[in-house]
Amino acid sequence: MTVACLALALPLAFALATVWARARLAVAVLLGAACLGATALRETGFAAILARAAPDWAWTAPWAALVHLLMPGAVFLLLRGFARLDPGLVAAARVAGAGRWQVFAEVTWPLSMQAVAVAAVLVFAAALGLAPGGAG
Amino acid sequence: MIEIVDLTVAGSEGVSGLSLGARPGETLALLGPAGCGGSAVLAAIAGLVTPAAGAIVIGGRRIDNLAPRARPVGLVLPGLALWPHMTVGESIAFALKVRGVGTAGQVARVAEVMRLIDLAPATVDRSPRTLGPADRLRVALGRALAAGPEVLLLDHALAGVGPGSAVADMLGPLCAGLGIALIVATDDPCTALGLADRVAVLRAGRLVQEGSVGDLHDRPVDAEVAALGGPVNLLPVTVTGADAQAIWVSAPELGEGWLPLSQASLAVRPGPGLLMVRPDRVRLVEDEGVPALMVAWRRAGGRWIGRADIARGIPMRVEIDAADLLPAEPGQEVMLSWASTDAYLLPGAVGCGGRRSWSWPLRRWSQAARWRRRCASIGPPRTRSSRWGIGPGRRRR
Repeated sequence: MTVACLALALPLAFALATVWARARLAVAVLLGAACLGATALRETGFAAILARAAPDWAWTAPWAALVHLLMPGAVFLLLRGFARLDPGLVAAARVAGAGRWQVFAEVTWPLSMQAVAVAAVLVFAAALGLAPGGAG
Repeated sequence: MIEIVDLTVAGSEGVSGLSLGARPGETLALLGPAGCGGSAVLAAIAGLVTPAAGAIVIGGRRIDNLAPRARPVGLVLPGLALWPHMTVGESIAFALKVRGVGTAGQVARVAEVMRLIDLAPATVDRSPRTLGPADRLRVALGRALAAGPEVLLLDHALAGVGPGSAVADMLGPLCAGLGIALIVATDDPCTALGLADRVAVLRAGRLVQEGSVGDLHDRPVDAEVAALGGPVNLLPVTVTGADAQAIWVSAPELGEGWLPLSQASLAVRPGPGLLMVRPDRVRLVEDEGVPALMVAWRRAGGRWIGRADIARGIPMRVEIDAADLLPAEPGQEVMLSWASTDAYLLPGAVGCGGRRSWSWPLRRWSQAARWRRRCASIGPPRTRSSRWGIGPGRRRR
Protein backbone atom coordinates (compact mmCIF):
# COMPACT_ATOMS: atom_id res chain seq x y z
CA MET A 1 0.00 0.00 0.00
CA THR A 2 2.63 2.50 1.15
CA VAL A 3 4.96 1.18 -1.52
CA ALA A 4 2.34 1.69 -4.23
CA CYS A 5 1.69 5.24 -3.06
CA LEU A 6 5.37 6.17 -3.01
CA ALA A 7 6.06 4.45 -6.30
CA LEU A 8 3.45 6.69 -7.91
CA ALA A 9 4.31 9.82 -5.93
CA LEU A 10 8.10 9.77 -6.37
CA PRO A 11 8.35 10.31 -10.13
CA LEU A 12 5.57 12.87 -10.07
CA ALA A 13 7.17 14.86 -7.23
CA PHE A 14 10.57 14.68 -8.88
CA ALA A 15 9.18 15.85 -12.20
CA LEU A 16 7.33 18.65 -10.44
CA ALA A 17 10.46 19.77 -8.60
CA THR A 18 12.79 19.69 -11.59
CA VAL A 19 10.94 19.82 -14.90
CA TRP A 20 7.52 21.38 -14.54
CA ALA A 21 8.36 24.38 -12.38
CA ARG A 22 5.75 26.46 -14.23
CA ALA A 23 2.94 23.90 -14.16
CA ARG A 24 3.52 23.26 -10.45
CA LEU A 25 0.54 25.29 -9.26
CA ALA A 26 -1.89 23.76 -11.74
CA VAL A 27 -0.83 20.21 -10.90
CA ALA A 28 -0.99 21.02 -7.18
CA VAL A 29 -4.61 22.17 -7.59
CA LEU A 30 -5.48 18.96 -9.49
CA LEU A 31 -3.86 16.86 -6.78
CA GLY A 32 -5.69 18.79 -4.10
CA ALA A 33 -8.96 18.14 -5.92
CA ALA A 34 -8.16 14.42 -5.81
CA CYS A 35 -8.31 14.58 -2.00
CA LEU A 36 -11.91 15.86 -2.11
CA GLY A 37 -15.00 13.66 -2.41
CA ALA A 38 -16.37 10.77 -0.38
CA THR A 39 -14.35 7.58 -0.10
CA ALA A 40 -17.39 5.44 -0.89
CA LEU A 41 -18.01 7.42 -4.08
CA ARG A 42 -14.35 7.04 -5.02
CA GLU A 43 -14.50 3.26 -4.50
CA THR A 44 -17.63 2.93 -6.58
CA GLY A 45 -16.03 4.95 -9.33
CA PHE A 46 -12.89 2.85 -9.42
CA ALA A 47 -14.98 -0.34 -9.28
CA ALA A 48 -16.95 0.83 -12.32
CA ILE A 49 -13.81 1.75 -14.27
CA LEU A 50 -12.01 -1.47 -13.41
CA ALA A 51 -15.07 -3.65 -14.12
CA ARG A 52 -15.20 -2.29 -17.64
CA ALA A 53 -11.44 -2.10 -18.34
CA ALA A 54 -10.09 -5.18 -16.52
CA PRO A 55 -12.69 -7.37 -14.84
CA ASP A 56 -10.01 -9.69 -13.40
CA TRP A 57 -8.59 -6.77 -11.38
CA ALA A 58 -11.92 -5.49 -10.05
CA TRP A 59 -11.02 -6.57 -6.51
CA THR A 60 -8.30 -3.90 -6.38
CA ALA A 61 -10.87 -1.09 -6.53
CA PRO A 62 -10.77 -0.19 -2.78
CA TRP A 63 -6.99 -0.18 -2.87
CA ALA A 64 -6.85 1.99 -5.95
CA ALA A 65 -9.24 4.41 -4.26
CA LEU A 66 -6.97 4.59 -1.22
CA VAL A 67 -3.85 5.22 -3.31
CA HIS A 68 -5.81 7.91 -5.13
CA LEU A 69 -6.65 9.51 -1.79
CA LEU A 70 -3.22 9.37 -0.15
CA MET A 71 -0.90 9.97 -3.08
CA PRO A 72 -1.34 13.78 -3.25
CA GLY A 73 -0.15 14.10 0.36
CA ALA A 74 2.92 12.04 -0.46
CA VAL A 75 3.59 14.18 -3.54
CA PHE A 76 3.50 17.38 -1.50
CA LEU A 77 5.83 15.97 1.16
CA LEU A 78 8.32 14.73 -1.44
CA LEU A 79 8.10 17.92 -3.47
CA ARG A 80 9.15 19.86 -0.39
CA GLY A 81 12.11 17.54 0.06
CA PHE A 82 13.25 17.79 -3.58
CA ALA A 83 12.76 21.54 -3.77
CA ARG A 84 14.84 22.13 -0.65
CA LEU A 85 17.84 20.43 -2.22
CA ASP A 86 20.60 22.91 -3.13
CA PRO A 87 20.70 23.12 -6.96
CA GLY A 88 24.48 23.63 -6.65
CA LEU A 89 24.91 20.04 -5.46
CA VAL A 90 23.20 18.74 -8.60
CA ALA A 91 25.12 21.15 -10.83
CA ALA A 92 28.41 19.99 -9.28
CA ALA A 93 27.54 16.37 -10.09
CA ARG A 94 26.60 17.24 -13.70
CA VAL A 95 29.87 19.09 -14.28
CA ALA A 96 31.80 16.24 -12.64
CA GLY A 97 30.50 14.07 -15.48
CA ALA A 98 27.41 12.31 -14.12
CA GLY A 99 24.50 11.54 -16.44
CA ARG A 100 20.89 12.25 -15.45
CA TRP A 101 20.37 8.86 -13.82
CA GLN A 102 23.73 8.96 -12.04
CA VAL A 103 22.93 12.41 -10.63
CA PHE A 104 19.64 11.07 -9.26
CA ALA A 105 21.14 7.87 -7.83
CA GLU A 106 24.27 9.43 -6.33
CA VAL A 107 23.13 12.87 -5.20
CA THR A 108 19.39 13.64 -5.36
CA TRP A 109 18.12 10.36 -3.91
CA PRO A 110 20.55 10.03 -0.95
CA LEU A 111 19.99 13.66 0.01
CA SER A 112 16.19 13.45 -0.09
CA MET A 113 15.99 10.22 1.96
CA GLN A 114 14.72 12.29 4.88
CA ALA A 115 11.70 13.52 2.92
CA VAL A 116 11.04 10.03 1.51
CA ALA A 117 11.12 8.57 5.04
CA VAL A 118 8.71 11.21 6.35
CA ALA A 119 6.32 10.63 3.41
CA ALA A 120 6.50 6.84 3.92
CA VAL A 121 5.74 7.06 7.65
CA LEU A 122 2.82 9.45 7.20
CA VAL A 123 1.28 7.50 4.31
CA PHE A 124 1.72 4.25 6.22
CA ALA A 125 0.02 5.66 9.31
CA ALA A 126 -2.86 7.07 7.31
CA ALA A 127 -3.26 3.83 5.36
CA LEU A 128 -3.34 1.78 8.58
CA GLY A 129 -6.53 3.51 9.57
CA LEU A 130 -8.18 3.57 6.15
CA ALA A 131 -7.25 0.33 4.38
CA PRO A 132 -10.14 -2.14 3.82
CA GLY A 133 -8.37 -5.01 5.61
CA GLY A 134 -6.55 -2.72 7.97
CA ALA A 135 -3.21 -3.61 6.32
CA GLY A 136 -1.05 -0.57 5.47
CA MET B 1 43.68 26.95 -24.61
CA ILE B 2 40.17 28.27 -24.28
CA GLU B 3 38.59 30.81 -26.57
CA ILE B 4 35.21 32.44 -26.12
CA VAL B 5 33.92 34.16 -29.25
CA ASP B 6 31.01 36.59 -29.22
CA LEU B 7 29.29 34.76 -26.36
CA THR B 8 25.75 35.83 -25.49
CA VAL B 9 23.87 34.36 -22.53
CA ALA B 10 20.28 35.46 -22.07
CA GLY B 11 18.89 36.66 -18.75
CA SER B 12 19.21 39.64 -16.45
CA GLU B 13 22.59 38.37 -15.22
CA GLY B 14 23.77 37.20 -18.65
CA VAL B 15 26.36 38.63 -21.03
CA SER B 16 26.23 39.91 -24.58
CA GLY B 17 28.87 39.69 -27.30
CA LEU B 18 31.75 38.71 -25.02
CA SER B 19 35.07 37.58 -26.52
CA LEU B 20 37.84 36.35 -24.23
CA GLY B 21 40.60 33.77 -24.14
CA ALA B 22 43.07 32.09 -21.81
CA ARG B 23 46.20 30.10 -22.65
CA PRO B 24 47.14 26.88 -20.81
CA GLY B 25 48.71 27.76 -17.45
CA GLU B 26 47.30 31.27 -17.53
CA THR B 27 44.96 32.76 -14.93
CA LEU B 28 42.16 35.03 -16.14
CA ALA B 29 39.91 36.86 -13.69
CA LEU B 30 36.39 38.02 -14.55
CA LEU B 31 35.94 40.97 -12.22
CA GLY B 32 32.66 42.78 -11.61
CA PRO B 33 29.88 43.25 -9.08
CA ALA B 34 27.34 40.49 -8.39
CA GLY B 35 25.15 39.95 -11.46
CA CYS B 36 27.70 41.39 -13.92
CA GLY B 37 27.73 38.16 -15.94
CA GLY B 38 30.89 36.42 -14.71
CA SER B 39 28.95 33.48 -13.28
CA ALA B 40 26.92 33.21 -16.51
CA VAL B 41 30.14 32.90 -18.57
CA LEU B 42 31.42 30.11 -16.33
CA ALA B 43 28.05 28.30 -16.37
CA ALA B 44 28.07 28.49 -20.19
CA ILE B 45 31.60 27.05 -20.37
CA ALA B 46 30.66 24.24 -17.97
CA GLY B 47 27.45 23.49 -19.88
CA LEU B 48 25.00 24.38 -17.12
CA VAL B 49 23.32 27.01 -19.31
CA THR B 50 22.94 27.08 -23.07
CA PRO B 51 24.31 30.26 -24.66
CA ALA B 52 21.98 32.19 -26.95
CA ALA B 53 24.82 32.86 -29.39
CA GLY B 54 28.57 32.54 -29.80
CA ALA B 55 31.14 29.78 -29.64
CA ILE B 56 33.33 28.25 -26.92
CA VAL B 57 36.45 26.48 -28.15
CA ILE B 58 38.77 24.44 -25.92
CA GLY B 59 41.94 23.00 -27.42
CA GLY B 60 40.71 23.63 -30.97
CA ARG B 61 37.45 21.76 -30.40
CA ARG B 62 34.11 23.50 -30.20
CA ILE B 63 32.40 22.41 -26.97
CA ASP B 64 29.32 24.59 -26.60
CA ASN B 65 27.05 21.92 -28.09
CA LEU B 66 28.43 19.05 -25.96
CA ALA B 67 26.88 17.66 -22.77
CA PRO B 68 28.53 18.86 -19.53
CA ARG B 69 30.15 15.45 -19.02
CA ALA B 70 31.89 15.55 -22.41
CA ARG B 71 33.63 18.89 -21.72
CA PRO B 72 37.20 18.96 -20.37
CA VAL B 73 36.17 21.44 -17.68
CA GLY B 74 36.25 21.53 -13.87
CA LEU B 75 34.00 23.92 -11.95
CA VAL B 76 34.04 25.07 -8.33
CA LEU B 77 30.66 26.61 -7.46
CA PRO B 78 29.87 29.45 -5.03
CA GLY B 79 29.66 28.06 -1.51
CA LEU B 80 31.66 25.09 -2.90
CA ALA B 81 28.55 22.79 -3.10
CA LEU B 82 30.28 19.85 -1.43
CA TRP B 83 28.07 16.76 -1.13
CA PRO B 84 27.29 16.32 2.59
CA HIS B 85 26.69 12.57 2.33
CA MET B 86 30.11 11.74 0.85
CA THR B 87 33.56 11.63 2.40
CA VAL B 88 36.49 13.63 1.02
CA GLY B 89 37.75 10.57 -0.85
CA GLU B 90 34.33 9.77 -2.33
CA SER B 91 33.84 13.39 -3.44
CA ILE B 92 37.19 13.48 -5.26
CA ALA B 93 36.63 10.01 -6.76
CA PHE B 94 33.11 10.89 -8.01
CA ALA B 95 34.21 12.11 -11.44
CA LEU B 96 36.19 8.85 -11.92
CA LYS B 97 33.36 6.64 -10.60
CA VAL B 98 30.80 8.03 -13.05
CA ARG B 99 33.30 7.50 -15.87
CA GLY B 100 33.61 3.83 -14.96
CA VAL B 101 37.15 3.85 -13.53
CA GLY B 102 37.82 0.80 -11.31
CA THR B 103 38.30 1.00 -7.53
CA ALA B 104 42.10 0.60 -7.67
CA GLY B 105 42.36 3.36 -10.27
CA GLN B 106 40.12 5.62 -8.17
CA VAL B 107 42.23 5.13 -5.01
CA ALA B 108 45.48 5.84 -6.85
CA ARG B 109 44.12 8.98 -8.55
CA VAL B 110 42.57 10.30 -5.30
CA ALA B 111 45.94 9.94 -3.54
CA GLU B 112 47.65 11.74 -6.43
CA VAL B 113 45.11 14.58 -6.48
CA MET B 114 45.26 15.01 -2.70
CA ARG B 115 49.04 15.36 -2.94
CA LEU B 116 48.61 17.97 -5.70
CA ILE B 117 46.20 20.11 -3.68
CA ASP B 118 48.20 19.65 -0.48
CA LEU B 119 45.46 17.89 1.49
CA ALA B 120 46.54 15.61 4.37
CA PRO B 121 46.02 11.88 3.46
CA ALA B 122 44.34 11.33 6.88
CA THR B 123 41.33 13.45 5.79
CA VAL B 124 40.33 11.02 3.04
CA ASP B 125 37.65 9.32 5.17
CA ARG B 126 36.35 12.46 6.86
CA SER B 127 33.25 14.37 5.90
CA PRO B 128 34.00 17.73 4.22
CA ARG B 129 31.70 19.32 6.79
CA THR B 130 34.24 18.64 9.54
CA LEU B 131 37.03 20.53 7.72
CA GLY B 132 37.97 24.21 7.87
CA PRO B 133 37.17 26.62 4.98
CA ALA B 134 40.62 26.31 3.36
CA ASP B 135 40.51 22.49 3.38
CA ARG B 136 36.91 22.52 2.11
CA LEU B 137 38.12 24.61 -0.83
CA ARG B 138 40.91 22.08 -1.40
CA VAL B 139 38.32 19.27 -1.53
CA ALA B 140 36.23 21.21 -4.05
CA LEU B 141 39.37 21.84 -6.14
CA GLY B 142 40.32 18.18 -5.93
CA ARG B 143 36.85 17.18 -7.09
CA ALA B 144 37.13 19.53 -10.08
CA LEU B 145 40.69 18.40 -10.95
CA ALA B 146 40.18 14.63 -10.57
CA ALA B 147 39.20 13.95 -14.19
CA GLY B 148 42.13 16.00 -15.53
CA PRO B 149 40.38 19.05 -17.04
CA GLU B 150 41.99 21.49 -19.48
CA VAL B 151 40.11 24.44 -17.98
CA LEU B 152 39.37 25.07 -14.30
CA LEU B 153 36.58 27.52 -13.41
CA LEU B 154 36.21 29.15 -10.00
CA ASP B 155 32.84 30.83 -9.52
CA HIS B 156 33.15 33.16 -6.50
CA ALA B 157 34.79 30.21 -4.73
CA LEU B 158 37.54 32.10 -2.91
CA ALA B 159 35.09 34.19 -0.86
CA GLY B 160 35.56 31.98 2.20
CA VAL B 161 39.36 32.02 2.32
CA GLY B 162 40.49 35.44 1.10
CA PRO B 163 43.14 36.34 -1.47
CA GLY B 164 46.27 36.03 0.70
CA SER B 165 45.71 32.50 2.02
CA ALA B 166 47.98 29.55 1.28
CA VAL B 167 45.37 27.79 -0.85
CA ALA B 168 44.84 30.90 -3.04
CA ASP B 169 48.61 31.31 -3.49
CA MET B 170 48.90 27.63 -4.42
CA LEU B 171 46.30 27.89 -7.22
CA GLY B 172 48.27 29.82 -9.85
CA PRO B 173 51.46 27.70 -9.73
CA LEU B 174 49.39 24.48 -9.54
CA CYS B 175 47.42 25.28 -12.71
CA ALA B 176 50.54 26.57 -14.46
CA GLY B 177 52.32 23.31 -13.62
CA LEU B 178 49.46 21.20 -14.94
CA GLY B 179 48.94 23.37 -18.03
CA ILE B 180 45.38 24.20 -17.02
CA ALA B 181 43.77 27.52 -17.97
CA LEU B 182 42.25 28.97 -14.79
CA ILE B 183 39.26 31.33 -15.01
CA VAL B 184 38.14 33.00 -11.78
CA ALA B 185 34.89 34.96 -11.51
CA THR B 186 34.98 37.30 -8.52
CA ASP B 187 33.55 40.55 -7.18
CA ASP B 188 36.63 41.21 -5.06
CA PRO B 189 39.36 43.31 -6.77
CA CYS B 190 42.00 42.05 -4.29
CA THR B 191 41.34 38.44 -5.35
CA ALA B 192 41.40 39.31 -9.05
CA LEU B 193 44.53 41.48 -8.93
CA GLY B 194 46.35 39.19 -6.49
CA LEU B 195 45.69 35.93 -8.34
CA ALA B 196 45.32 36.61 -12.05
CA ASP B 197 47.74 37.22 -14.91
CA ARG B 198 45.03 39.01 -16.84
CA VAL B 199 41.82 40.65 -15.70
CA ALA B 200 38.60 41.24 -17.63
CA VAL B 201 36.35 43.85 -16.01
CA LEU B 202 32.66 43.20 -16.65
CA ARG B 203 29.81 45.60 -16.09
CA ALA B 204 26.17 44.64 -16.72
CA GLY B 205 27.14 41.79 -19.04
CA ARG B 206 29.60 43.76 -21.15
CA LEU B 207 33.38 43.77 -21.25
CA VAL B 208 34.65 47.14 -20.01
CA GLN B 209 38.39 46.51 -20.06
CA GLU B 210 40.68 43.54 -20.52
CA GLY B 211 44.37 43.62 -19.76
CA SER B 212 47.20 42.69 -17.46
CA VAL B 213 47.02 43.52 -13.76
CA GLY B 214 49.50 46.35 -14.43
CA ASP B 215 47.33 47.79 -17.22
CA LEU B 216 44.30 47.82 -14.99
CA HIS B 217 46.21 49.60 -12.23
CA ASP B 218 48.13 52.14 -14.32
CA ARG B 219 45.90 52.61 -17.39
CA PRO B 220 42.26 52.07 -16.41
CA VAL B 221 39.61 52.92 -18.98
CA ASP B 222 37.47 55.01 -16.64
CA ALA B 223 37.17 56.18 -13.03
CA GLU B 224 35.18 53.14 -11.92
CA VAL B 225 37.86 50.73 -13.15
CA ALA B 226 40.53 52.96 -11.60
CA ALA B 227 38.95 52.49 -8.17
CA LEU B 228 39.22 48.69 -8.55
CA GLY B 229 43.01 49.01 -8.66
CA GLY B 230 43.12 50.58 -5.20
CA PRO B 231 42.81 54.09 -3.73
CA VAL B 232 43.03 56.79 -6.33
CA ASN B 233 43.11 60.61 -6.58
CA LEU B 234 40.85 62.06 -9.26
CA LEU B 235 41.29 65.73 -10.17
CA PRO B 236 38.60 67.35 -12.35
CA VAL B 237 40.24 68.99 -15.38
CA THR B 238 39.14 70.34 -18.74
CA VAL B 239 40.53 68.69 -21.86
CA THR B 240 41.19 71.57 -24.26
CA GLY B 241 42.70 69.77 -27.23
CA ALA B 242 45.11 67.22 -28.60
CA ASP B 243 47.75 66.88 -31.29
CA ALA B 244 49.83 63.97 -32.56
CA GLN B 245 51.93 63.64 -29.41
CA ALA B 246 50.17 65.35 -26.55
CA ILE B 247 46.83 66.05 -25.01
CA TRP B 248 46.23 69.49 -23.48
CA VAL B 249 44.43 69.97 -20.21
CA SER B 250 43.71 72.86 -17.91
CA ALA B 251 42.44 73.17 -14.35
CA PRO B 252 42.18 76.23 -12.10
CA GLU B 253 44.54 74.80 -9.49
CA LEU B 254 47.00 73.15 -11.90
CA GLY B 255 47.07 75.74 -14.67
CA GLU B 256 47.62 74.75 -18.28
CA GLY B 257 49.54 71.58 -19.02
CA TRP B 258 49.96 68.65 -21.33
CA LEU B 259 50.30 64.88 -21.09
CA PRO B 260 51.84 62.43 -23.57
CA LEU B 261 49.07 60.73 -25.59
CA SER B 262 50.08 57.38 -24.04
CA GLN B 263 49.01 58.78 -20.66
CA ALA B 264 45.37 59.20 -21.61
CA SER B 265 42.51 56.73 -21.88
CA LEU B 266 41.26 56.20 -25.44
CA ALA B 267 37.80 57.26 -24.28
CA VAL B 268 38.97 60.83 -23.49
CA ARG B 269 37.15 63.54 -25.49
CA PRO B 270 37.47 67.32 -25.38
CA GLY B 271 35.49 68.60 -22.39
CA PRO B 272 35.50 67.50 -18.79
CA GLY B 273 38.07 64.90 -17.79
CA LEU B 274 39.62 63.40 -14.67
CA LEU B 275 43.32 63.35 -13.94
CA MET B 276 44.23 60.17 -12.03
CA VAL B 277 47.21 59.98 -9.70
CA ARG B 278 47.81 57.01 -7.39
CA PRO B 279 48.42 58.12 -3.76
CA ASP B 280 51.87 56.47 -3.56
CA ARG B 281 53.05 58.53 -6.57
CA VAL B 282 52.19 61.88 -5.02
CA ARG B 283 55.31 63.55 -3.60
CA LEU B 284 55.61 66.45 -1.18
CA VAL B 285 58.15 68.92 -2.59
CA GLU B 286 59.72 72.23 -1.60
CA ASP B 287 58.77 74.19 -4.72
CA GLU B 288 57.23 73.84 -8.20
CA GLY B 289 54.09 72.00 -7.15
CA VAL B 290 50.38 72.33 -6.48
CA PRO B 291 49.82 74.24 -3.24
CA ALA B 292 47.78 72.32 -0.66
CA LEU B 293 46.94 72.33 3.03
CA MET B 294 48.02 69.25 4.99
CA VAL B 295 45.00 68.04 6.98
CA ALA B 296 45.91 64.79 8.75
CA TRP B 297 48.12 61.73 8.81
CA ARG B 298 47.26 58.24 9.97
CA ARG B 299 49.27 55.06 10.18
CA ALA B 300 47.90 52.05 8.22
CA GLY B 301 50.15 49.00 8.45
CA GLY B 302 53.50 49.77 6.89
CA ARG B 303 52.44 53.13 5.45
CA TRP B 304 51.50 56.65 6.44
CA ILE B 305 48.30 57.82 4.77
CA GLY B 306 47.85 61.57 4.60
CA ARG B 307 45.17 63.92 3.41
CA ALA B 308 46.00 67.25 1.83
CA ASP B 309 43.32 69.59 0.49
CA ILE B 310 44.09 71.58 -2.61
CA ALA B 311 42.08 74.64 -3.67
CA ARG B 312 38.28 74.31 -3.89
CA GLY B 313 38.51 71.69 -1.12
CA ILE B 314 39.56 68.79 -3.35
CA PRO B 315 41.10 66.18 -1.04
CA MET B 316 44.28 64.41 -2.19
CA ARG B 317 45.40 61.13 -0.64
CA VAL B 318 49.13 60.79 -0.07
CA GLU B 319 50.90 57.58 0.93
CA ILE B 320 54.48 57.32 2.13
CA ASP B 321 56.52 54.52 3.62
CA ALA B 322 56.27 54.30 7.43
CA ALA B 323 60.06 54.17 7.67
CA ASP B 324 60.31 57.75 6.32
CA LEU B 325 59.93 60.80 8.52
CA LEU B 326 56.66 62.69 8.13
CA PRO B 327 57.45 65.52 5.69
CA ALA B 328 54.81 67.93 6.99
CA GLU B 329 52.70 68.53 10.08
CA PRO B 330 48.90 68.83 9.85
CA GLY B 331 47.91 72.45 9.27
CA GLN B 332 51.05 73.19 7.29
CA GLU B 333 51.08 74.54 3.73
CA VAL B 334 52.71 72.01 1.37
CA MET B 335 53.44 71.57 -2.33
CA LEU B 336 52.27 68.39 -4.11
CA SER B 337 53.91 67.05 -7.23
CA TRP B 338 54.03 63.95 -9.39
CA ALA B 339 55.89 62.79 -12.46
CA SER B 340 53.98 63.34 -15.71
CA THR B 341 54.26 59.59 -16.41
CA ASP B 342 52.46 58.84 -13.12
CA ALA B 343 49.39 60.85 -14.09
CA TYR B 344 46.75 59.36 -16.36
CA LEU B 345 43.82 61.10 -17.99
CA LEU B 346 40.36 59.53 -17.75
CA PRO B 347 37.15 60.53 -19.52
CA GLY B 348 34.45 62.77 -18.17
CA ALA B 349 33.12 63.92 -14.88
CA VAL B 350 30.22 62.03 -13.39
CA GLY B 351 26.83 63.47 -14.29
CA CYS B 352 23.27 62.40 -15.04
CA GLY B 353 23.71 63.07 -18.78
CA GLY B 354 21.04 63.90 -21.34
CA ARG B 355 18.48 66.69 -21.27
CA ARG B 356 16.31 66.96 -18.22
CA SER B 357 12.60 66.61 -18.93
CA TRP B 358 9.74 67.68 -16.68
CA SER B 359 9.56 64.15 -15.20
CA TRP B 360 13.23 64.20 -14.22
CA PRO B 361 12.76 64.33 -10.40
CA LEU B 362 10.21 61.54 -10.60
CA ARG B 363 12.51 59.32 -12.67
CA ARG B 364 15.44 59.97 -10.35
CA TRP B 365 13.25 59.00 -7.40
CA SER B 366 12.04 55.75 -8.98
CA GLN B 367 15.60 54.92 -10.04
CA ALA B 368 16.75 55.31 -6.44
CA ALA B 369 13.90 53.14 -5.23
CA ARG B 370 14.83 50.47 -7.77
CA TRP B 371 18.40 50.53 -6.56
CA ARG B 372 17.34 50.19 -2.93
CA ARG B 373 15.10 47.25 -3.81
CA ARG B 374 17.88 45.61 -5.77
CA CYS B 375 20.37 45.98 -2.93
CA ALA B 376 17.82 44.52 -0.50
CA SER B 377 17.07 41.58 -2.78
CA ILE B 378 20.73 40.59 -3.04
CA GLY B 379 20.50 39.66 0.63
CA PRO B 380 22.95 37.68 2.73
CA PRO B 381 25.82 35.74 1.12
CA ARG B 382 24.95 32.37 -0.36
CA THR B 383 27.47 30.46 1.76
CA ARG B 384 25.16 30.07 4.77
CA SER B 385 24.95 26.47 5.89
CA SER B 386 21.48 25.12 6.46
CA ARG B 387 19.99 24.48 9.84
CA TRP B 388 19.47 20.86 8.86
CA GLY B 389 23.02 20.16 7.91
CA ILE B 390 22.14 19.18 4.32
CA GLY B 391 24.56 21.41 2.52
CA PRO B 392 24.29 25.14 1.94
CA GLY B 393 20.76 26.34 2.49
CA ARG B 394 18.73 27.91 -0.28
CA ARG B 395 16.84 31.07 0.36
CA ARG B 396 13.10 30.56 0.37
CA ARG B 397 11.31 32.25 -2.45
